[in-house]
Amino acid sequence: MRENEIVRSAEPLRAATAAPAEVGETDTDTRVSPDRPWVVLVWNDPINLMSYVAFVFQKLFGYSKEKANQLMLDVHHKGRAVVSSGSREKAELDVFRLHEHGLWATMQQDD
Amino acid sequence: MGVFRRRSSRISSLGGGRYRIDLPKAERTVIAHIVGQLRSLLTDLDPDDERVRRLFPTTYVHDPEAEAEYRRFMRSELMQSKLAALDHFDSTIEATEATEEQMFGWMQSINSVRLVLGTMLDIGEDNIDIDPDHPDVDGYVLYHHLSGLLEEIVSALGEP
Repeated sequence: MRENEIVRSAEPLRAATAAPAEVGETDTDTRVSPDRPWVVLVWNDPINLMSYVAFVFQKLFGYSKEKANQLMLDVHHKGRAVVSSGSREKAELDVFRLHEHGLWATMQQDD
Repeated sequence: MGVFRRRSSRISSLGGGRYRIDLPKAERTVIAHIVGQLRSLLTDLDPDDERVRRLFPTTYVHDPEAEAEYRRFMRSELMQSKLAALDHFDSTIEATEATEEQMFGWMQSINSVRLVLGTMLDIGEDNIDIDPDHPDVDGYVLYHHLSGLLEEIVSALGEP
C-alpha cells in the first residue's frame, strides 16, 4: 500500500505474494462444497493508502481502529489477508462493498 | 507507511454528521475536471477496458464460471455505485459543508481517480521522487495532490 510521502523508503516494501491470478487459471478442486465456509481476501496494491484501507475496514466491518489497522498491516506486509468469512452470499456482498471502495478483494472457499 | 503532513486539514468534522470543506476555487476546478474525466471514462468504456478495469476487479479468481455469473448480476450494480459517488461529489463541489454520505462520495470518487491515474502511471510500491523532467510530471503531481486530499478526507471522516 501507499505511504503518502515523497521520500525514499528505508527499505523497499513489497508484497510477500503475487497478486491474484487472472480468471482462467483452473484449479483441480474448484467444485463448490456447501460445508466449507467462504473467506474474503483483500490483496495488497501499490495505490491504495494505508490510512484509507484501515478506514474502509472500520467502515464496512465495524472493526475497532486497532483491528482494522492490524488487518491493513497484514495486507501490506503479507500481501493479502482474510477480512471476513461466512456464507457464499455474505462473501459476495462483502467483496462487492470492498470493490465499491476500490479495494482488490476476492473470495474463495476456506481450506 | 507514512502520512501526508499538512499544517491543518482543509476537510474537518463539524460534528452531527456534517463536514466542512475549505478548498480554494482553483483547486475545486481542477478536481472537478479530473473527476469529470473519470465519469466520461466510466460511461464511455467497457469495464474490461484497461483504463478502468482496476475499478472492476475479479471476484472468483479460481472459478471462471462463478466469475461470469457474478459479473452478470453485479457489474452494473458496481458501475451504478461508482456513478452515485460521483453524483455526491458533483452536488457538493462548490459547497463549504457536506453530509457524511456526500463526504463518502468525495472519498470514493477521489480514490477512483487515483486508481485509474495510478494504473496509467504504473505507480509502484516504492515511494517516488517526482522528476520534474518526466513527460508525465503533471500526472504524478496530480496523483500526489489527490493522495494528500484523500488523507485529509479520511482523517476528517475518522474523527470520533
